[in-house]
Amino acid sequence: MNYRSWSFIILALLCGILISSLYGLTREQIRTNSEDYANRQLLEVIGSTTAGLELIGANRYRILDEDGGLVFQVQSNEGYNGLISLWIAIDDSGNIRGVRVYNHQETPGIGDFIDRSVSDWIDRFVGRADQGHDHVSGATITSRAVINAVYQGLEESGQ
Amino acid sequence: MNSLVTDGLWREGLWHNNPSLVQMLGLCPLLAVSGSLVTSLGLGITTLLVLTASNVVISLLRNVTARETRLPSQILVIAVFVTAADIILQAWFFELHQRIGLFIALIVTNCTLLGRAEVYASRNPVLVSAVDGFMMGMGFLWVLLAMGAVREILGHGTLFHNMHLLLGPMAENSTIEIADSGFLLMVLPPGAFLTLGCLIALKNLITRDV
Repeated sequence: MNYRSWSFIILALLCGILISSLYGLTREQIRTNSEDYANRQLLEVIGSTTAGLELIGANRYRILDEDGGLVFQVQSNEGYNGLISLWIAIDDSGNIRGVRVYNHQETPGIGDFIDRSVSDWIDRFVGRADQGHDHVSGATITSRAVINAVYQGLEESGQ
Repeated sequence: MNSLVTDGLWREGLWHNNPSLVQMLGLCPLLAVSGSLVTSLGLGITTLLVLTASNVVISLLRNVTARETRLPSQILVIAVFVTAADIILQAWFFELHQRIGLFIALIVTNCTLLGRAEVYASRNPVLVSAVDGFMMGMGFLWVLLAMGAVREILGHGTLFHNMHLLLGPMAENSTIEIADSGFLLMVLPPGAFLTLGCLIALKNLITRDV
């Protein structure tokens, strides 16, 4: 080993130590942030801040209000970049009350229309129980992933 | 520090050698994130800070690293700052990170950073390298802001929309409504190319006259 290699190895080590300590310091904060965000989206998808929720399974709740129904998590790995996580709320007759994407890494400006804070595209599912949605041109993969995930979730909830 | 040198860096970064309008570097984040003012500001400031910090560290290391490993060392330093920025945004600006997160990681591939590291910081003292990084970052930031403002006004008919993602609750009602709706084209990717093209043409027009 010569000086050239050692100087690079030591630099790489220092960089590694720096990043892992920063990660260790902020890990808790980041986890709290994403849990808070998922919970806020959960309340939003029901469309009511007063309705009670009863936990009946992993990421699966019964909605305790006059419309009733369930809210549950669906994840899709068919997106353009990483997992897409959604909350889907349905009422007692199996119609969709609402859908919210609470975690995704789709391309900003192209695939992020699935995020309710970017566009209201996701609202087109409300009140439906059947298939048949137009895909978004330029973001076919992202829209297909979300549409498939929603109907897969509907089918599973009906069983 | 020679004031003549910093004077030159100021003109170079903001105008004569602007990374976006003249060097045409880092166009991918420029085109993709300039859909609204708040995302432009978020990415622009992050790039500015990373560029200044990486220039400082690379300049400090310029006599320690061997010539043969200088490029991997520079990329490593840049990657460390970008990763740190990514983690910090996730911890304190979570909702903004949801919007532009993918492009934070891509700052590593923004050629402006490696370009300034190799061309300037690895050959110059710390202070002037810091000024160079800061001015190049400002050059990138103002073009990004100009494009974000133009595209948000024409595309959505608003300005300063969603500013609370960056500035917190005090900017909750900052949105200025200019029109009820906008041209969809300006929000979509072609709008970014059109806006950038017009900006470059404008810049060339002014430069030729002066």
